[in-house]
Amino acid sequence: MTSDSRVSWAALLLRRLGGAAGTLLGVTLVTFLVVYRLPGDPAALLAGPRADPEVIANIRRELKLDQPLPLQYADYLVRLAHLDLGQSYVRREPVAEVIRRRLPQTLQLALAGWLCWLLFGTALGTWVAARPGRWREGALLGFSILGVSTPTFWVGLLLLYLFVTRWKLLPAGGSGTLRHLLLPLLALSFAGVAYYARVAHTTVRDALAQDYVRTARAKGLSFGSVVCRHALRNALLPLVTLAGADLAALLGGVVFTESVFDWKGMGQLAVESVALVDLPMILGVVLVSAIFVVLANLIVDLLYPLLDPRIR
Amino acid sequence: MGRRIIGSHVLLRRPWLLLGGALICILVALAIGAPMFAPHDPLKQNRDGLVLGGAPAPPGRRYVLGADSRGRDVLSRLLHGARLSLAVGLGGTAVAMALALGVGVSAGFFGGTADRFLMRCTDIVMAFPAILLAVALAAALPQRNVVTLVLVVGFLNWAAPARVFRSETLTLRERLYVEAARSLGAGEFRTLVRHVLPHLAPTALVLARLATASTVLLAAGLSFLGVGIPAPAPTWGSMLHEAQTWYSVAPWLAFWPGAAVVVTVAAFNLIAFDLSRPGRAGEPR
Repeated sequence: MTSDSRVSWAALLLRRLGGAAGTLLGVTLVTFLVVYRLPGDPAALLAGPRADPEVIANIRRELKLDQPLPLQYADYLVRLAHLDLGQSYVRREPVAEVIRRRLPQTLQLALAGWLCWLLFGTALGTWVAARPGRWREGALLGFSILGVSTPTFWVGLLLLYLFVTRWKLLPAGGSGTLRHLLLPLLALSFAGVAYYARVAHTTVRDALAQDYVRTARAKGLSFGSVVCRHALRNALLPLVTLAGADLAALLGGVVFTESVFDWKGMGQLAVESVALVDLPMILGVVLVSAIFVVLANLIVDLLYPLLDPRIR
Repeated sequence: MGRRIIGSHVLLRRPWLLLGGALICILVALAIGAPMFAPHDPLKQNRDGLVLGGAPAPPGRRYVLGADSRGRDVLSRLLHGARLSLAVGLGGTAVAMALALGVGVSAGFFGGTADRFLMRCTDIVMAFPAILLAVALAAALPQRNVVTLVLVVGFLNWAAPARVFRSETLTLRERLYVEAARSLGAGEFRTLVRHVLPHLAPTALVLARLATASTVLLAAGLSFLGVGIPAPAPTWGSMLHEAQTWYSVAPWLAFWPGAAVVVTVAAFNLIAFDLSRPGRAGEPR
């Protein structure tokens, strides 16, 4: 890198950091407003049903709910800076503690699913692009539309019925071994593979139509090596940016898979907390996943010019 | 050569559009005629809908697609569910598109600080995983019904289309005919309404179809997680929610509502896909 490009990268870094900070501030404002300002009194909820009005008033003072809104928000931000996501209404435990316990499960599932999307999606899309044909392309299109139209939880239920009830091949729920991971992974992959296959197909097909591919062929390179070394390599860039943002979004997006397979992750935690009206817990999960998304987008934005020098 | 826009020969060359359109027509007809077509009351708990031992009755002559765990007819619930699904999907789309148009067009047209602020807002909304924020909102609302669900689902789907509207408006603003209108003395408002908005229609059409696909999915997902329209309303998502406990003995409970969701969402996706292909709708011919 020349010193000139380093300077502009530093400028980009600063600009992006500022943007990410602004977005994060907005995100916290939304979660704050949902927990503390929506109809329904958090103090009353925390005190439980049939609580003494005096107890409720005490809790309100303790949570500083009687103070002006901007002050409450500032207080909320200070607590967030100390990694304090508040107290669960139901579990009598700090929200951050519970999320920290559940996060590895979600990470495991999301990461495995994401790898499947990338690997199988790219492979499928590249294969169809390298061997174009009316039927193959039609089938890929049909599969990709079907894939993005199918709810993950439905795929999950069907898989459970087939593999667990009918064929008795795999365990229904739980986690720990590869056998436990297989079904959730299949359910999670269906939509993602369909989507990535389509993106990979488009980009590889366009890359194959470029002049440098024809040049490489004319020089005598085999078709396979042209596809892998030239076309795919250039097509990977948009895929990588897409994938970076998707990995973070997946942390929140595996909710359905977790719910169907009773996978004790972060999303399942949020869903369980709905029935308990445990708002701080739900919003804690929401906030943590939103922070992941903002950070991932920031990293992708900063990596992009390093991967592709044409872009500034 | 004169081109017919709606001629059978044109449609036949566009099988995806034809398929999607036909599916949507059938779905809308079934939804509107649900009370007529449904063989049973969707809410009535029939004693003969349960077999001895209390399990749901399998598909048969009386209950064509079987009965659920309370002896209610699955087919009737599916048909009535089509009404709720389409209502929430289309209502949510209307909310999302109105917000997206308002935000996107004003950001693109006015630019400057307004643009930066509005785009920051879309960043913020898009940072949240939609389903999680939807769960949180649905849980925080004092009551859940069709209207609140429409608002939640609409609120979560406006940000991405708003960005597209913004960039479209940005390019439209620089077009020569807009420049010409300005130099002829047209005011800001007139330029916007007469010369920019009409040209957004083709884009809006595609985005609305995509938005409907995602609102229907999201609404079904919320009901599946138990935070949709409360029981006993027959929604596809809540039918799948109940199917979770019964899928091993009564797989038909899990199969049909999910298939209905897939067909509906795919129909909207098919149309959006066909319309968004280069050289199709909206391109000046």
